[in-house]
Amino acid sequence: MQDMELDENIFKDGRDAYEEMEKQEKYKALREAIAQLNAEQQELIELSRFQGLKYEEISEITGNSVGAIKVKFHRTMNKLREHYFELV
Amino acid sequence: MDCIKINNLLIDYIDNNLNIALSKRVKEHIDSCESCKADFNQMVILLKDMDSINDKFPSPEMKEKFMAMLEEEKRNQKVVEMDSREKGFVSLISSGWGQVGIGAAVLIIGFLMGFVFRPGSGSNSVQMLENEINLMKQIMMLSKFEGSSASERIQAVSFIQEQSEPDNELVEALIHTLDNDKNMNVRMAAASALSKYYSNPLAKEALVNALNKQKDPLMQITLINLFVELHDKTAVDGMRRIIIDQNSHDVVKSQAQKGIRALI
Repeated sequence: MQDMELDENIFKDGRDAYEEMEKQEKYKALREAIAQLNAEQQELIELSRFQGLKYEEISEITGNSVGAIKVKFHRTMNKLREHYFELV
Repeated sequence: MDCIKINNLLIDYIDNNLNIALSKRVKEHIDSCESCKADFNQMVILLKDMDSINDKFPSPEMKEKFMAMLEEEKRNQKVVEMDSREKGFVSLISSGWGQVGIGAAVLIIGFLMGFVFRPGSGSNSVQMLENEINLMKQIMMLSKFEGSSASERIQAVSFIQEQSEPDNELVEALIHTLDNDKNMNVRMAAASALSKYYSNPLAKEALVNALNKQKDPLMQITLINLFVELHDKTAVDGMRRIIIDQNSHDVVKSQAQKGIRALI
């Protein structure tokens, strides 16, 4: 009886580990896609999506106009989308 | 509305930032336009994945599982046989830390076994197990720094952070990362990790130097806040220099002023 329990646990751990590994692979792909952007684009992604800053705040930090930032941001996200779905 | 305009609205649409009228127009367009629908679907996935990647590393589930396994190993300690511990290490390595192949895992196990089973080492077994795990972590961390992705490097930094006294080699790895890593997230993680080892003169010096070297506003702000928390007056000079520097951003300058006031 105990042996069977042990086997089940190992199997479940294996499945969880596989899922975890898949997740990590996906994040690795996303990080790589981001890394393919140029520095300005990466900063834009970081400030807007990861730090949650608004366009006005980003404008203050980078010195670019809000309008310019919006344009660059959408262009960047489209590029990122292309890279990401090439990799995944 | 043409596809280009719709494309520019997609993200705000997904984030629910559009007013009702605009939302409706976007939805109608997506429903009827195959190519925009495809873009929309991709964008949804991208944004979702970016949100989840934004959570701390390692993922909470992974850390929980590791802790549970550690407890399990401790409980099995009374049966201190080679077999059970080998199995413990192999499952520790293969679940969640993926990068090390089984071949390498066996090598690591062999190395650790050789290190630990020294004749006459009278330390208690739980302590020994913890030392082995720490050693293993350190070995994996060093190898992860050569890994390509930023997330792996951040993981390495956060594992190092859990050591109470990392050896100088690891501190130097952190310093190198702080000064040279291309990814700002990784540099910030390294700064935060180094601040924990402030008593180490190498770490302290590296952080103070970083205040001058890092030009990224976010990095500067992070560092200023760290110094205020650490009550380190030697950073005041660096903060003054930031205020004088014309290229410093206004937000950073005001943060530096607050920092100086807090420290003096």
